[in-house]
Amino acid sequence: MNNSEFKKEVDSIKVPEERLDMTIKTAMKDEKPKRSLGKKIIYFTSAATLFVGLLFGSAVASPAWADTLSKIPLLGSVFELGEPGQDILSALNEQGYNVKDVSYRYQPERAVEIRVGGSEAYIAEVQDEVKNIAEKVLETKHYDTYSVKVMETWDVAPEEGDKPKPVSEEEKQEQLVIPLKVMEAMNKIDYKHEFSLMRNYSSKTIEIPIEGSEEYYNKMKDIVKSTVNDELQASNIKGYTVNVSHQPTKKVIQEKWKLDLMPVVTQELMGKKGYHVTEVKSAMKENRMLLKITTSLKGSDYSANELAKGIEENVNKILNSDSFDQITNEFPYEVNIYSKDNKKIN
Amino acid sequence: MDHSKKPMKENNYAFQDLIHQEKNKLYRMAYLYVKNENDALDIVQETIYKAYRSKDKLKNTEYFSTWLTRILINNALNFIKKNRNVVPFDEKEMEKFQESSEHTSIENHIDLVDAIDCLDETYKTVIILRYYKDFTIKQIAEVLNCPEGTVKTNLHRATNQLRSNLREDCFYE
Repeated sequence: MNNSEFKKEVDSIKVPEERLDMTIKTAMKDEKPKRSLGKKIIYFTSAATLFVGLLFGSAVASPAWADTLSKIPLLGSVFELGEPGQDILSALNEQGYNVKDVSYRYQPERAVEIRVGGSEAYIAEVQDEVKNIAEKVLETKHYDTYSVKVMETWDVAPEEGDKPKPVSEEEKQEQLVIPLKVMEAMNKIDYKHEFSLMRNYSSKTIEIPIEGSEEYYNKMKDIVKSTVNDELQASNIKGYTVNVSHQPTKKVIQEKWKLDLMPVVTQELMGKKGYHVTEVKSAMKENRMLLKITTSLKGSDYSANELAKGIEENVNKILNSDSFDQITNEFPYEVNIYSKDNKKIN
Repeated sequence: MDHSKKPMKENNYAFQDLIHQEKNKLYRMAYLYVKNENDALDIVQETIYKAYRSKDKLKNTEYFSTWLTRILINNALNFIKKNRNVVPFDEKEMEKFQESSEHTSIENHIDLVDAIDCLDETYKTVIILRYYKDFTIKQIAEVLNCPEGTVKTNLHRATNQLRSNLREDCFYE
């Protein structure tokens, strides 16, 4: 055993990143650290789980259980597609709050984190109102598992080398015009795919991604380059380099799956108690997306299959909706739902 | 960002940055002592809290890593001392609970971590400081507050013990 092997082995210990960052933040708040309850809780839950298990085991058709089942949201009824994060963001911005970001976390507890910009005083002043508004939105959309946390944005002090170089008025004007010119050029060639044109051109390069197959890219790259250059020249914009790169369609779709579709599914399933979902995972395979949904029910539970049906139904409703069906048609998915004890229940 | 030449007082950001550079190693070292996420985080939190309170005492940020490690080791050893007398309600049940909440990627590397875990605290410390943090014998002696000769002997014995632990299962007390 040598040094680097040793380090590698120790470095393979997985670090709970989010919890660690939280720990650091708390430690620097200058409060005496509280001993975590982690260990103590274990003693209680092991006994409690045993007790609860016995309780459910004996009551085959317990009314309490049936009651929970009836709360599975929207089983068979009209399903409203929701994106609580977006709704919260809009509701808050409409009322003039300086909200930078709304994100979700599922560990250690399910929460919506709202990041507000501004001074500490401002945040202290508005945080209750912001929390209330967010909670109201969640309530109207039937999300009953998320707690709301209002926090400050992470302000990143710009590094020495990062400061954008001062730009002259002229250049600024020019850079506002560039996206338009590029769009005009792409229209001329009839290139329909969307891509982001909002970027900092201070490095004097314009990046244009061509989405599609390798052949399509090879066919298009020269003509794109020359058309854009011509357009720029015609508008007297000089000194910019046009870079045309290849973005395989598959990659674009896979990105969309991960960034656009999965979060919506996860927010929904983790957000409503009635689903009894404890975890949503996804894995990208060669040509399909595998969804793995774990519930807190046991495989032997008579209501497990019913629950799984309901979950799958709603997941399908989300993924086949107008917003997403283009993606799911091109790159299909498979839903696998599991019980607590790892039995497939759908 | 190179903070190594600045005195600690000047820069709160510097402290934060340095902490973030060290955070993963801090966590992993703590973990080697207690083998569960919650306790490891406790130790890290205590460490950072203490470091933050006494950061002005550190004259030269070049030694930040060593300084911080010392604090961590002390906290870890204290933690173990304090919790030694806690007898879990059901040792087996507790272990199962902890294992099931760990990520599976740990399972593949449990050998070395297990082997280290079996070591007596002092041996554990010299191993971690020597092989993971590359401390010199002198530095280790400072942390443990004992003569360098003792450190050398302990290191020698610890390494042998570790090797034998890796070869065959070690026995917990």
